[in-house]
Amino acid sequence: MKIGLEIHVQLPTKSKMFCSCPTTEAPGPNTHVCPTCLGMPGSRPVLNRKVLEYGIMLAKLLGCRVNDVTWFSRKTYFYPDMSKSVQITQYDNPIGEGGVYYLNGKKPIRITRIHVEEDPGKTKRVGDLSSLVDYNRSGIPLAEIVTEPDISTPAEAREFLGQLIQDIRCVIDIPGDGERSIRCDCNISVGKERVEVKNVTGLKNVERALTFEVVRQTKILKAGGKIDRETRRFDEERGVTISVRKKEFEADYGYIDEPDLGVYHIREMAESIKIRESPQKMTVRLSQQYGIDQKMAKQLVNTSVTLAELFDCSPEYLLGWQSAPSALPAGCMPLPGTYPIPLLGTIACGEPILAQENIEDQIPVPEFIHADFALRCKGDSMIGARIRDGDVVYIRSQPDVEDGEIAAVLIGEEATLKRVYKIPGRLQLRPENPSYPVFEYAGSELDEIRILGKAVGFSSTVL
Amino acid sequence: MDRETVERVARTAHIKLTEDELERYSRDLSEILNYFELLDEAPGSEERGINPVEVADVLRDDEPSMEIDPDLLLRDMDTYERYVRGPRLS
Amino acid sequence: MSMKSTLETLESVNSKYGMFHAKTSDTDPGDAKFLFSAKDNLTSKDMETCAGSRILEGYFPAFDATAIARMREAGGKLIGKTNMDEFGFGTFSTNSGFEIPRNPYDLERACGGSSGGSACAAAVFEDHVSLGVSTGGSICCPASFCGVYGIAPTYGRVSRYGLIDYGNSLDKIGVLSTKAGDLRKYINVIAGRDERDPTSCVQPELRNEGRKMRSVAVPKEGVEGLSKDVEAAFNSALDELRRMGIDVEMVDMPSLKYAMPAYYVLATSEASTNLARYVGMRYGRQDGDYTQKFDEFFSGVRSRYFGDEAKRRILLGTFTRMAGYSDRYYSKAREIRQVVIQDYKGVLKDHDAVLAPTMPFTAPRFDDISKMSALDNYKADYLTVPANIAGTPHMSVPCGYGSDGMPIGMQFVADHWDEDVLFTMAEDWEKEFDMKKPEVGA
Repeated sequence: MKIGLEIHVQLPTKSKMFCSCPTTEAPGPNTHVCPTCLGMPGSRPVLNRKVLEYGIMLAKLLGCRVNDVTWFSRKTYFYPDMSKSVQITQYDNPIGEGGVYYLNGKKPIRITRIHVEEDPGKTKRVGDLSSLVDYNRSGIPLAEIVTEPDISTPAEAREFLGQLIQDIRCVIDIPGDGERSIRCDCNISVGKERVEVKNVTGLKNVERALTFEVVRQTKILKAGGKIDRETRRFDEERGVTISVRKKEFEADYGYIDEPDLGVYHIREMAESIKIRESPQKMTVRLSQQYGIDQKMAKQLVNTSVTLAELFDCSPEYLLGWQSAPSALPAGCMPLPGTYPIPLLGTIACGEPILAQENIEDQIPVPEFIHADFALRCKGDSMIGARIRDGDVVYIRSQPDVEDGEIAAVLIGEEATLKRVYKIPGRLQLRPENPSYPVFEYAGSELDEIRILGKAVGFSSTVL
Repeated sequence: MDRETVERVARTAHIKLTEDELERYSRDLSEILNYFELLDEAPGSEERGINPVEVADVLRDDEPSMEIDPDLLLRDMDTYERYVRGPRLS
Repeated sequence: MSMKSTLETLESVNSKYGMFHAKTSDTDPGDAKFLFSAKDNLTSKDMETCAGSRILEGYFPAFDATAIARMREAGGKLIGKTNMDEFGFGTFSTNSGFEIPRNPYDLERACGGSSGGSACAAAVFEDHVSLGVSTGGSICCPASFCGVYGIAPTYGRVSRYGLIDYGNSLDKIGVLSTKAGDLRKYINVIAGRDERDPTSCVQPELRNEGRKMRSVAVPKEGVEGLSKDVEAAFNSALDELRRMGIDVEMVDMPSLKYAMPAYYVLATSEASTNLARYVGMRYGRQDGDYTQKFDEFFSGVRSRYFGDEAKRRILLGTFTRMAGYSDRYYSKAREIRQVVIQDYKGVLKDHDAVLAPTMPFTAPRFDDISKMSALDNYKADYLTVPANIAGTPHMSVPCGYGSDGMPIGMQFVADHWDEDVLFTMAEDWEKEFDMKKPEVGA
């Protein structure tokens, strides 16, 4: 079985592809329209720079070769939502060609090409008598990603789309309901002949439509029948594909060059555009670099990518694996700076352990925390203060602390992290975990006790 | 160009032809295409030009604006509740 | 004649010559500095714009074409939109969905096309400039038939914003007038970068240095198949040019014979996509039966309102770009365009212009035109098409009159962006040439 997909992704520009009409939600039908997107005689297209930039980003994400020169073509077909009866798209020399995408970091899915084109308007049926058209969507930029028939099952198609969308979202800001709004043309051949299921919306429907086709085509083949090479459409409600009846009007797009736009030399633009590492690539890299298994790496990436986006830093920085955030885009506030403090060893959060003061490492600490050294915690006696086994606590050197503060305390040769309570004549060291005892010292015992400093912060990994 | 081809081209182009027109256009287009055989003997060129002068890298910044009031554009259109009216879809 | 009297007699003059599709009803020029008309494929806010097609009846554009807007800004008053072949499809303006303009020298004859109404207006009204559009010769042909000066500048010199497209890689907006000086004057008004048309954004500055023409090349291919009258007038014009000190040299331009078929393939391929938008929705004719399925509906409207030649060119252009045929026709034509450009560049290295008669014959009679086949019509363009496919600036100047009294023109073709040498040539020629104006009466 062979499956190939043609995936349409709306690009998040502020204005349309060939005119300045806004792409934001319109207050009513045909309110974000102008002569160009209405295809009025005498109007002309002017290309939005951002569309080329997004196209190049996606081409890079998909490992495509970005063409030095790209241009546009006219695809002619008649439908009420297509205001010019011509779609400006790319035919020869699209933005990118010949890429490959590794599903689960392993299985190669070849990418034939990626091009940009304009979206048509939206039609609405009035009973079955006529139609109404809203051209607000007309001219919104789309990227079309075409794969080779390298996908083996409907489930794999869905998995591929899911990963692809996550990756795309990491590079460009597609809307949150990307999974549902994504539109696909699916090509599937169980036997020799290829069947195209047009315009399937959403990941789930792609899998449903393809599964239906597998069953249908297999049945025909088993019965000794022949599969017609044809175009079908997917009926979402009934979950079936339906043959688009033999056309009285033949579609022959008759592609020609679009002379109104000329050509675009995009090599320099492509060289200047850097894209973030995609989540799928990061998963593979983290698993190799830090020796964690793929599943865990994936989990980490899934949880941290969105957060990282929020804070505009790399997910590794969030995970504490990288000391400085990568370069920030213009207009973003940098995270507070850090300075290094020595990590002096391990401190017990449980039974006091022998203190070994030697510098193990340098730890970056945010500037607003005043700390002198750090200790790695062992044990879970301070869990109630949210300090867990393996966390690093930042200590400010001071001989005494206020009542109830958390301190690193040296008992003889052993160090421990506890809350310090001063009762006249006595000193209590309380854990933040009811399963550990409270230690109390009085009299000469107090000579053995030395407060190393106050805990002013800690860092925790999500591990 | 034979009648069959003219019929096919006309369907693609969404032009309905009467018997007379079909006859006439088949004849005219055949005559024209015969003359166009000149193209086959003409020299070719490696250069790929879309325009007669080079038009390159003309781009617009991604800034939304609306110069013409859409109401003015809809003024002469056959509309229903601001939707443009069109024919049956299927 | 004053602007006011022109406006006052507009109605009666138009009823005699039929140059206008739409016209102003003002009789007061107000503070206008000059009057102008524009071909009806240029959008105008205040007048219906149909490009000669009934399918566009009722189209009142919400915006002015840049060329018209610039003429208005320069103080011009638009007095009318001129009749033309439907979408520019023709050599005689007889393929109009509306009125067919009549030749000011003989009302039984055509004005030429497709900017026939513009040439007619330029010839009839005094002190009048008209904007025309050339795709394959639509400025020079009618200029020649109506005995006026006409220039189509370099492709991309004048913004095409607001031009109802015929062939987007070929269309050029230019100027027609009886006064040679108007060519420079008004091309300067309408030329220049316009961010609404990317193809206008690559032009070098328009020069006005008055560069003299020193030598012209006459291609052998350009003096074949001429009528006796045209041949005689052209030869005496060559003598006149020599007297003016201009070298005249015969050259070979073998690519020219391929220009005509290549032009028709490119022009109709593009036209058939441009005309796909006319389906009876959104603008123009919107009187189809919405209960029909869209394919039927579109076909019905298109068959009803497109004229005979529009249908022919749509069919031809749809065919030449179809899968399976497009390599042989469309792609090959695109290559031939490059060959023709190289041929011009080669000749223009040693010469300031390529020169030939504009049309091989004088304005034909309407009854003779009706006898011509479609191919005969196309063949009549063989002299004007090469410069158009190459996008090179070209100009027709009146150079004589036939035994029938009809005007004859010759066409200069200069290198890309070199309009200056054409302007200067026209200005110099005007001093030497004895122009016979038609007898005009309302």
